Amino acid sequence: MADLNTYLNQINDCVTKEHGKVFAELISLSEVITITTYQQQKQSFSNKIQETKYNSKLLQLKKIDQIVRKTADLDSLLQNKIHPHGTNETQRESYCDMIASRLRAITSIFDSNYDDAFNYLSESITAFIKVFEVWSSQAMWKFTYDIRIMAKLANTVESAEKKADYYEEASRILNRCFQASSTDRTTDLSQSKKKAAMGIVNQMFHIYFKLNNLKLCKNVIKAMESPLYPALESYPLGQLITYRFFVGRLAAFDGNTQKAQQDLLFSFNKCPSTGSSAKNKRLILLYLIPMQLSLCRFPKKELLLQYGLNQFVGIVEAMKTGNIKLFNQCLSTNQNYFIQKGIYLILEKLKNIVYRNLFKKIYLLNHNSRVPIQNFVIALKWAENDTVDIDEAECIISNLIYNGYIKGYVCHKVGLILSPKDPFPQIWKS
Amino acid sequence: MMLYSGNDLNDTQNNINKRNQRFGIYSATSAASLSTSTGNQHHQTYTDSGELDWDSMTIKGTSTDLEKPYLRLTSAPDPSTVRPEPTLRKTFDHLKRHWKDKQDYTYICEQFRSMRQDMRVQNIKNQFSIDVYEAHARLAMENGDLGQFNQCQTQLFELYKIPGNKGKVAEFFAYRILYCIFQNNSTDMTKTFSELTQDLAAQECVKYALKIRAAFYDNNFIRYFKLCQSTFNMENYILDKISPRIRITALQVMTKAVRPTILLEQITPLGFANDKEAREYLEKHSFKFTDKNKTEFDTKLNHPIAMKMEQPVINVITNDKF
Repeated sequence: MADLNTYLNQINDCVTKEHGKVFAELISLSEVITITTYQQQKQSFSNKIQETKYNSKLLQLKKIDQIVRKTADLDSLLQNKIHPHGTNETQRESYCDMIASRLRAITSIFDSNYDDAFNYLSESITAFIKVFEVWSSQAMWKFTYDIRIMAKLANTVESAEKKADYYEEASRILNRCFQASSTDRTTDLSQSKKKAAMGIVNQMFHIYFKLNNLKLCKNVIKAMESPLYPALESYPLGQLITYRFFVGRLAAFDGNTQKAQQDLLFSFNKCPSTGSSAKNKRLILLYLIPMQLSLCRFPKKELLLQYGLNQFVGIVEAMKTGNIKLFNQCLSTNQNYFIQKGIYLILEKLKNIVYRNLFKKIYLLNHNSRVPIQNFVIALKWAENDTVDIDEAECIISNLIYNGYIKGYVCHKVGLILSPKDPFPQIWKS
Repeated sequence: MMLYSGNDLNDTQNNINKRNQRFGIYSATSAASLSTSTGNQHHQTYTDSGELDWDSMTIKGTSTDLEKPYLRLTSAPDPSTVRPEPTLRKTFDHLKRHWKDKQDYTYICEQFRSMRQDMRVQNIKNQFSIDVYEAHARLAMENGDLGQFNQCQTQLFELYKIPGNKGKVAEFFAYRILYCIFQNNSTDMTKTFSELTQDLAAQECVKYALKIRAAFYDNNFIRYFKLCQSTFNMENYILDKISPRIRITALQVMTKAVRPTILLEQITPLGFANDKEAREYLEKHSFKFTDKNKTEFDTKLNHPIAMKMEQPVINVITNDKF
């Protein structure tokens, strides 16, 4: 009984003192959900310190759970024990509901009943929203993170009762959390619950990307970047890194390279390279590299190998040397990987740069500013497609001229007449 | 989306309901009780995007009318006006016959929409509904109604996901890729791409659509129009909507990059049946030829004309789900 009593006293204490950080730790389910998910997927911890920490928390939860299971009437027990100072009766009730549901969620997880666990966690959040204040923002972030990883866990397990995609369910709950923070009418934004918004929004992004429903992200961004919300820089740095990572990816999908590059570069530079962040750093790089490449900024081979992004080595090589054959090969060998990561279409656009570099080589070999189209046809037939004819070669060259990659003009059936001055301008200037 | 703005001016009952629900005033149980609704209740549930949540208001229809005009639902439907599946099957046969005889798309389209509505409010998501949606999608394409086509297509991919359902997945996936090109929407294209399985990618019609896509995005208009000559299914109907756009871009690029003149025979490959057709097109857009026979035109002179050519407007597709 002692463990449960201690736990409830801690809750009373930190709610009374409005101690957000401790409160967040007390309501956290991250440890037990993570460990269970790892067990399900036969995965192991990559970080020893984290593993030890998580396991000790798990032990603690197990002790509490033993008592909870023996308790006949959990609700009235909590009614007796939970009475933080400075709360009215309704608020106290909400705290009771929140803790009761959380304890039941833990029992369900230990029983491998993830459907129930998800529902209890969801009820716990519903109760929490009613008492959510600026001081308990960290608890809000904890809850939103937990409901996401809980949805992931519940989704991995096949069960007869499974009613829906839990990510869908989680997105509904997150929406309610976001509303709880955004409906604060306080005009002084430094005192507003809106300060909690970014932590919630980041979890929404995670889920919207999982659900492949990017339209929803845009609505949220619109709200976040309106003057009704605190300036982006005023949120905790860790959250801003995540936020700009997602916003950058969205910009990349929309073909807005410049913005994507700025957002992703910010995230990459600010993201720590130690511990569990190393994985995130690699993830940012995966989207940053295509942006940098389209601005002709080539990563060093060592960097690519260091982060295990070998898929890009060939692409970079092909771009530098104008090897369209290698470029096409790299795209098709890694097609599934690139598509799955959502960068295939972005990488494909780099082709113009490869063409430009190939054509520059042909020009240099030709020693003349008048290059017969047939020379290009031969190169393209070998490198790309046996069906390329004069018309198609002219078409490709024309596009490069039109988009400023080549200075000169095409004279039909005679050749490409290059500008005497700077026929292949630097790409990053144009 | 009004979700976060909070400045709804028209406080109709609907809006109040919506808002109550938004702020969690409705409990989950009130939504569940609606599934047994008899149709004259005014309670409605909404999805997060603010649309009516049909799944929570499923009803059983009793109507035996074969035909029914389409009306956009603003409240829970009355079961006596909704046709159950056996009636809908008769309607489907009736419509197929009607189309053969009369070829009246406006009428047929309305009838299909009311069928789709009836299926949706009754949560009919089986092989029959796939047949109806595929039929309407094809009819809509044939009649240049890409808005309706897109609604059917979107719903079809939801229906294909249900185990046991079978459909022309590859064929419609190919159309979907082409439709993304038509809409010029790279976010949708990325989404579509992420659903491209190896199985689908191996199908000829999907391969074909992917080639078209690559040619379109490279603005390789020569390859694009070469590919247009050998379609698989009904791709033509969407390609016809894309071609005018790529043709204009082609003219803009060519008049800028080619000097001093372009021959008419270089324009004909841009999807024209013959030189005559190409010439008529250029004349319609006020291109000036250099010779009497109209076989050649000056690029410097005509480039501003090409740049002034306006890209056809892409119709905005409504969110109307039926």
